[in-house]
Amino acid sequence: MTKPALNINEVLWLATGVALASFPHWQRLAIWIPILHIGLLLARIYIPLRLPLFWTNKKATINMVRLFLMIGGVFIIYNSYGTLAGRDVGIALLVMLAAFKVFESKSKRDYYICAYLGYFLIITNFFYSQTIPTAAYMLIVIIIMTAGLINFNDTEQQLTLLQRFKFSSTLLIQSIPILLVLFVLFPRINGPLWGLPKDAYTGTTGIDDQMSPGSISKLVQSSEVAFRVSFEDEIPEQSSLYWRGPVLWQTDGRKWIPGKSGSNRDPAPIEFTGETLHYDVTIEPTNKRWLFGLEMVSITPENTYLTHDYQLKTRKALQARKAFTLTSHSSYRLGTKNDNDLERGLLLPETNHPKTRELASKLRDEFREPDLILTAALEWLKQESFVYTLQPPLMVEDMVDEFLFDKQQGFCEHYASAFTILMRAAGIPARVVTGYLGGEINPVGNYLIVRQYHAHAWAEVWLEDQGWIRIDPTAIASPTRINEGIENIIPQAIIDIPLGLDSNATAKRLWQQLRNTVDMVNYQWAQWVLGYGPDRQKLFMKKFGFKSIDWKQLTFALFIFLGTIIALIAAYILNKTSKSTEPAKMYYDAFCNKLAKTGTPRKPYEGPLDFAERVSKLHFDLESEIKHITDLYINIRYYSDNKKILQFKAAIKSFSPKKITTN
Amino acid sequence: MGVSVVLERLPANPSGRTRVVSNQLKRQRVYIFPSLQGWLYTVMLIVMLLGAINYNNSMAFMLCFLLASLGLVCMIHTYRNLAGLVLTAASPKPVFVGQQALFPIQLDNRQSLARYSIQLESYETVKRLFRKRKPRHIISISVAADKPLTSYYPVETSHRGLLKLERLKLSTSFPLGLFSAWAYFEPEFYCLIYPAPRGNKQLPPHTLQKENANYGLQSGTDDFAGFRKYRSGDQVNSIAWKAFAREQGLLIKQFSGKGSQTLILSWGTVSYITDVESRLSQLCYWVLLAEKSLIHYGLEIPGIKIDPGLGTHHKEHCLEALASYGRQ
Repeated sequence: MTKPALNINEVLWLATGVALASFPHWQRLAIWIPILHIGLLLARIYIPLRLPLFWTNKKATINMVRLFLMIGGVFIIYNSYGTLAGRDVGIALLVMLAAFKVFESKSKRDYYICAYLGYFLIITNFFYSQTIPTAAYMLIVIIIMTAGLINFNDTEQQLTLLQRFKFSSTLLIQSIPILLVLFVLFPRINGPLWGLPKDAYTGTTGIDDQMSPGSISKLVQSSEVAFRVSFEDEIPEQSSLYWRGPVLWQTDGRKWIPGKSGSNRDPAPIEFTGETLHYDVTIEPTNKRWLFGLEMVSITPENTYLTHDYQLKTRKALQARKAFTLTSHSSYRLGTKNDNDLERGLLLPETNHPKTRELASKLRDEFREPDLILTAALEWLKQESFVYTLQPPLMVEDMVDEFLFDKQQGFCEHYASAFTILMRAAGIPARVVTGYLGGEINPVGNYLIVRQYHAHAWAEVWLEDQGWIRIDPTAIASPTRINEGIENIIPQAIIDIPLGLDSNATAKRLWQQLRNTVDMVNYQWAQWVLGYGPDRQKLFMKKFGFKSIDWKQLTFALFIFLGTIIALIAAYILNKTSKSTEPAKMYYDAFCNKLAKTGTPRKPYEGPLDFAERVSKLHFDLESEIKHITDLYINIRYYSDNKKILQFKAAIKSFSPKKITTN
Repeated sequence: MGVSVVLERLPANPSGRTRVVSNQLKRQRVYIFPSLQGWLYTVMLIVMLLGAINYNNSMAFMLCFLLASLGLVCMIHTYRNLAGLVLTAASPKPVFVGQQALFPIQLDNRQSLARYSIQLESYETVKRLFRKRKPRHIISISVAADKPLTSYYPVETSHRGLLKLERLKLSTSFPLGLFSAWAYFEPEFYCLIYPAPRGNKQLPPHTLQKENANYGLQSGTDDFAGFRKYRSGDQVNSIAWKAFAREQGLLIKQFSGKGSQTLILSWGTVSYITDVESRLSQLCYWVLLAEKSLIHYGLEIPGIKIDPGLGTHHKEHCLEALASYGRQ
């Protein structure tokens, strides 16, 4: 089929679709890429419209300019990204390519390639954001692009703009059942199939495997969700919700790192007592391998393991939102005497923290026994006037000494760090544990949201008869942080309460309620849509009684369901449209059918009058009725006498011709 | 009107139970296959799927599956756009060689949804796609819901005689162009093609009709001889309008045959032309000219003899004889 060059209407549809699909990328790209993008789209619309002669005659010039821009474009992309490989660069190139393709589009084939590039641009947006608003926006873009394709195929331009959008939406609505079958049953495998670009998962925040002053207080500035937890039973008290993360052993006095450990050693021996807690953790992607469980995790899920110092780690970095089922015990006795551990738990940077060392030796001389030293140290913390603050004063020289004896203002990382060093100096093995504390209960869905601002750090010390026990020095200095949660300490702006609402209690409550509902929806979205992978698929199949289903069976089921659902949709579409909507014609058809059953069908070329005349001769007993019905029909259908429709309906209902015996 | 064809899906009757369709309707299969764009679309979907698996991105899966579903739904709509359409053809009006023969095709949409962008093309032209011997005609039609629409399929003419309408191909790729659905329609209709009127613009010398007793009354132009009743095909200017005004009905003025001018267009009058087709063209021209100048004319070509006369029917009769000369 030869189709003449694209007209302006078609180009407009194309440019709109491509621009809208790439729009969310604009803010992420180097500034001139969107400028070039829009410029090319506008040029494609403007030049043929205003300078048609230029457009048709100066092809060579235009091609030269295009080539120049293309080389320039690739060069500048290389210049600003330093490479031509990777996710971000790939998208920059795609955005540019799409605009160039629209710019040079002439034929039907070009139109389709541009439309497909548009669909591709949509999918690339999901590598950055998969939230409900993004999905909704993209759905609108899909409706527009599909309407553009409808416009392109509606060669006589019979549809109005609104009808095109309606048709496009109808097509998409009718696709939903097939989409669901594909989404649920398509056999999922664990990706990736090939190496991902290095920048595939940047921009994720969360607890890191090192702690330096400011690293946690920086996290506390963020209200981003770290993970969500739904408990099988009741949600435990805030003050007992210690979510264990990285364990840090080695310090230079400022910064803490895990240090070298025999990481392939088995987990330290542990005895569990206390109540058992079963819960599901849905963790946001961190691109790291820590999983945060309640102290202390007793049963680990598949593809995870416990390190020697009881960090729960996954085998693969968490690159997508994932759910895990965990079991913990509220009390435990951790560890036996391990020389290596005890040695590492006493290491201190040499010749540092003179004041701390002085205090430590004082305590050691006075109390001798480790448990007594510990109690005395905690007592000392309580008596000194420590202030828990997000904005600690600058401590430059010797952070620990300055914090403990001079400034006495700090955040949990200062407390944990200083206390651990103090214990080590006093000869008690100690280590720093980072993670999260507490969480926000969402009453709408009855689950716990742990946000970045719940990040916390505490200490673990070794007492020979008790094993490694948790000591939270922050709890001593600021008991409210532990008992009532961090929300009372951090500024309200971080908890997302709009200005002006914080003074009005009702407004605040409503806002909280709204926020909870939104989070609940997001949680479900995350659980069932975004988190739907191989694991959840298995879980879902189990619910329907398929204990173990492999990909072959799944494919088989997929084809059966797909076939059925397509047949149903086809039947629906074809049946819905095969009926005439004009009631008069519908009733008249019924009348014709009644006659057809008696052996006198209406011929396709027969008008109502001719037909009536012919049948009247055969059904002479019904002559007046046939005439009556035909007259009514003609009046309604051709003279728009719609008042008679009921009369017409009744006449046809009571019309019952006898079978004509043919000889 | 003769053949009617319904494209596969017959309209269900409103009561929904039985389907009664007139026996006159022949059914014709509707075929459907992905178009080139459709295959390209499939390739795009596969690339998307690989990306989705690689990045383990749920929304990418979702989009990929949505577009795949959209393609499948589009297939059903493309099929629906053609299926159930009732096609009827009729004989076209005769034309002269060189004019376009317009075959009337009625597309009757008996369903509640309009059908868009249905392409009609003669199958013969499809076969000759690469040879390009004839200019191709593709007409694109949209039919509103519950409405019939008559469209004319043009065919170029180059020979006199009967022109058969080749098998018609109806195709559509509405709404998204990913699939192409098509069906064939073979209406068995012929268009009569008259020879092209060409040649000497001067009529040959009129011959005076010999006196003949049986030839008494003729609608000649000389002496008035009385009236007769109007018959369809009579010349408008021989109607007695005065009599019509007196409410005496349509009457035709008759003139005495004696001395009326009569022209016999015979093979002899064109003997100076050697080529048969050119002879026929010349005769065709004279027939039209004589009809226009109200001169009685008859036709005598080998195998056919038409008595002199005048009027539309007479003209058509003569032209048909010329068109089908030697073609029986």
